[in-house]
Amino acid sequence: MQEFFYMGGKGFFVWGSYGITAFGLILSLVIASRRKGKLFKEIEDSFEE
Amino acid sequence: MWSFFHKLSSPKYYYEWSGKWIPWLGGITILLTALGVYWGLVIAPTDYQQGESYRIIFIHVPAAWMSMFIYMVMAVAGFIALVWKTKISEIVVSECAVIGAVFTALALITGMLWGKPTWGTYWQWDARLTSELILLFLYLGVISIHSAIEDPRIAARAASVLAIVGIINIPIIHYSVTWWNSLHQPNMELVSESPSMHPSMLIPLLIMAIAFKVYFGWLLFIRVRNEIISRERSTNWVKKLILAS
Amino acid sequence: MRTKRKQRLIFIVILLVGFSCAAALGLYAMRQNIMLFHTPSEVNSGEVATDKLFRIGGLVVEGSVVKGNDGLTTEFNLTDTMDTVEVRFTGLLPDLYRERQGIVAQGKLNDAGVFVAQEVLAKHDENYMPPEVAAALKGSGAPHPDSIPKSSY
Repeated sequence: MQEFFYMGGKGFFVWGSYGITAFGLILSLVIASRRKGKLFKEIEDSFEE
Repeated sequence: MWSFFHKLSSPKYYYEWSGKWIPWLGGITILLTALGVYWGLVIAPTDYQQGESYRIIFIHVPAAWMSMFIYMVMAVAGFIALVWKTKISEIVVSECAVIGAVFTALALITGMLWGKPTWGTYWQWDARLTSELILLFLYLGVISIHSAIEDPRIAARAASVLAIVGIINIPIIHYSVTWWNSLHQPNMELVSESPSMHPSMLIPLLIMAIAFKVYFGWLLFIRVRNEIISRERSTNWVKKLILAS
Repeated sequence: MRTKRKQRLIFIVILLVGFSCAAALGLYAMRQNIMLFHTPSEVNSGEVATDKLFRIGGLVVEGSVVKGNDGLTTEFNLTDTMDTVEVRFTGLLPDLYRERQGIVAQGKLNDAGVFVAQEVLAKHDENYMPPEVAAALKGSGAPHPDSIPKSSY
């Protein structure tokens, strides 16, 4: 198991790449779905005015 | 066929049609990514030359393919936006630019993290690396046009022109390693009698490539739908939709 | 309405053709600068301005690698299978550096015609396979991917 994370001494590069990619792709999804919630709320609030 | 495209250019129809796809695209993305990452990191054998660091290929190459694929989608949408002036295609241009910029940045970063252990340097002003960096600037240009021009329809026209003109960079990226001496390795030959990649490594690469394509469709639909809601907020169908939720 | 659409189409096509031509001319004019490195043949035939720093690329000749007494200096011959240049480098070599490996070195020619490198980068190829397959390819007499000179060298 430890050997798997060690990646033949290249762990920093391999895990760094996978980590940054996962971060970027998940963050993009979170931003998009948050915007949907905000938009719906914003438009709903405008009805009351 | 033609009437289907015609229908899709209606924001309301597009919203309803793309909504049906979203759960499927999301599910397939998660399944394929999990399979591809496990296969690439655990099942795929070590490379004879590069050892373990080659495993970055399973995300670097699909991300680089996406960076060019999304650009072509954006340019086609820009073309439709200029000639037929449909709202949906204008929205697709602006949303593609954001997703494309993310994939281009990821391709560059993972490439740098791969370059250090294999070449011995993070960056080199090599034809492939430089043309990919120009691609990032093209995406950022399209994004900044949208944020600089307030009227979204005028912004879309300027952004579409930039998207179409910038397509010249795509063949330059692809052939950069053939036309010029470069540090970056030549393009892989995947369809040939002796492919550049052993099947045990090629399969996870292709799984990841498909996973990224489906992810792009998923995120694009979500983003385009948001933009439709935002722009059509004064129409009756959006009001009804929000009251119903 | 239809003619207006047609006009826009023609406008886009002209725009694209114009920019393609400009890009092609620009790249053609700058092709020497876009080349990351020169080959040993180009260097020996005097095509390269050797008074400035430049990069040279090729394969490390088998059996030519000599380690200096200080443990840091390495001397080797670099070939593009047509011509050879002697290279001297003091410093740490990348992991992938080995005989028959493609490399790119940056430096200057000295008076004796030896290329004194300040930086050596390994250029790997586009072939990926497990070690057993590579060994089997080597044993079967088929050309080992390492040993196939690439057109770009």
